Formats: sequence, structure tokens, C-alpha cells
Amino acid sequence: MNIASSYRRPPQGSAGRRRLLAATALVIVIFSLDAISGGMLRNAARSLGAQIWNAGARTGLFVRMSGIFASRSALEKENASLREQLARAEARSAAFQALEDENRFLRAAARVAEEEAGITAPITSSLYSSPYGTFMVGAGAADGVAVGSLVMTADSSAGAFVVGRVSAVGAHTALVTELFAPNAALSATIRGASVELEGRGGGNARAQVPRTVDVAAGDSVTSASLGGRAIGVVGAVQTETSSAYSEVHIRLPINVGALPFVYVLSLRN
Amino acid sequence: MWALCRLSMSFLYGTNIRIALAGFGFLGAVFAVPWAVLACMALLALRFRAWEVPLMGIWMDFLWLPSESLVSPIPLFTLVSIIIVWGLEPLRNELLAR
Repeated sequence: MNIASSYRRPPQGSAGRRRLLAATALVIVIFSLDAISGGMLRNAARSLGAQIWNAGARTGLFVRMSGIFASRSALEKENASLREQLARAEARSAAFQALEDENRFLRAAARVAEEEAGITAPITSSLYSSPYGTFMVGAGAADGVAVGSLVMTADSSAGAFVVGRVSAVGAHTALVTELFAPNAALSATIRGASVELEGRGGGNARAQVPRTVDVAAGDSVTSASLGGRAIGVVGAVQTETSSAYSEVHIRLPINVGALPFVYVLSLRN
Repeated sequence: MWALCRLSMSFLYGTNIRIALAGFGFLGAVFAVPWAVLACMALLALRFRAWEVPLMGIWMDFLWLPSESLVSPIPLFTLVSIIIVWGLEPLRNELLAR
């Protein structure tokens, strides 16, 4: 690249500056239109984002199942017919495993549904891409989801935990804000003591608990504002002899990123 | 003639980088961590008068901002994108071609 040509003053009133100004004005206009339309543009963007995510997930699964990135030594040992048979067998096995996992989650969700009315919804976005501690689920107003609905896990092996609350709803998608989103505040109860949780993102939170309260790792954390439901467990307790409080780290005992489905409670719950 | 060819090649090279960064930024809003998108925005704003940077910011906020009102919470990525792209204008004017 010609360094000399890169270091040159641009002409005054260049087209690039005008385009940038137009783009900035367009952003303001889009925001205004979105506010006037009641969030219609946001909902459209989220629907598009969910579709892009689903397409990417399907593509990734196809690439993995195709064996393109299989080791060179493994490919050298196989002839063409064995490679084709192995790919088909792996695809069938993966499909069976996926169906088995889906069945297990849906059975767990059905058990939750016996106690509380709601709908099982697939997670349709990355859980790590949002700077605001949000993620998308594939159910919306058309499925009875409303703003404020609680979102829970449906993993029966670890119990049902509240992971978030619906904060925006489209026709077929909804945006869920994690309970432990960065800088979120929530009242909770640990061993009978009322504490104020501060969200740290990634399914983690922390709280200050009086040292007189005997808190230990593994203790359940519930929230009265969420109907007394479990929201996490104590992960670690840090105590300073000079402080009247212990710093308690709370976490979700479930990797939400590994869950294909969550359970969205009806608003009356 | 040779200078024209070299200028064309440098233009295409810069354009390819810009397209790649913009594409990664828009797709990264769906798939990647927020810092990757922020890095794309910063790199684009450093090198170009990138009109796609404010659009990337509003795309990020429309995807993930948990509110249907304008001001609560603050649309951070939109504001940061506008600040970055305009804030680096003096540096671009001083050092870079466009």
C-alpha cells in the first residue's frame, strides 16, 4: 500500500463527510420512527437476528457433521465409501442424541408445566453477544408471552431456576433480560436474611451479607419478589475480619448456554 | 499509468478491509461478543469516515437493548458509535486520506 497517498489531507466538504452526516441523521430518524411505531423496528431487527442465528447454527452443525475438519490422519486411513458411511452414521447418531436431549428437556418442562402455566420456548440467540445481559427466545405475543413474564430453566436434574424476565415482545420472538444482568439489582433471601443482589453478568451475582448469617457454598438463593422462586445458589463466601459483612458470590447452577429451551411463565404466575 | 494502478490497488485493498470489517461487525452483533463489535467499529472509524459505524451501533442496540423506550436504558452502542466516528474525525483529517 502506498503510504504517501494515505497521508494526505482530504478536500473540504468531501462526499465521505456528507455520507457520514447522512448516516448519523438516519440513525436519529430510525430511533424516532421506532419510538413512534412502538418498537416495531426493534422487533423486526430481533426477528432478523433470530433468523440469522438459526441459519448460522444450522450451518455450523452441517459443517461439523460433514467431516470437513476431521483430522488428516483419520481421513488418510479411510477409503471413500467408509468415509461416506461414517458421516451418515455420525449424522444419524447426532440427530438421535439431539432428539433425546430435546425429549429430556421437554419432559422436564412438562413437569414444570404441571405446576405452573406457561410455554416452552427455544433460545434463538447467543447468550454472550448482548452487552446488556439479554437474549432472545422463539416465542412472542402470538404465543401468549407478555412483558414481565418470568423465564425459568426446565432442567429437572438441578431444579427450576428463574433466569430472567421478558422485557420486550414481538409477534414470535421475545427479549429476555437476565436476572443477573450487569449492574442489575434484585432483592433476595439467603438463609432467611434479606440481601440486595448486584448482577455481574454471565449468570453470576454478588451480595453483602451480615457476618452473623451463617452462609455456606451451595445454599439456595430465593427471591420474594419472584414468588419465592429459586434464582441461584451460593458459589463462594469471602469474609474479611475487619468487615461486618461477608461478600457472597451467587451463581446459576445450570449452564444456560447449554439449554436449548427455557420455560416462560404466564404473566398471572 | 503505474501510479494510477498502484492507487487503484491501494483503494481496492482499503475497500476490501472496510467491507470485511463491516461484515464482521454486523454479523458479530449476532454471533460474537460485544467487544469484537466494538473493536470493528473502532478500527473502521480510525481508518475511514465509516458511515456504517453508526448503523452498526443502532443494529446492536435494536437487537439487544431491553427496552421499548428511547432513554431507559441508554442506547450505549449507538451513542458510542457516533462519538467514535465523529470524535476521530480530526485524527483522520490530519493523518489519513479518507
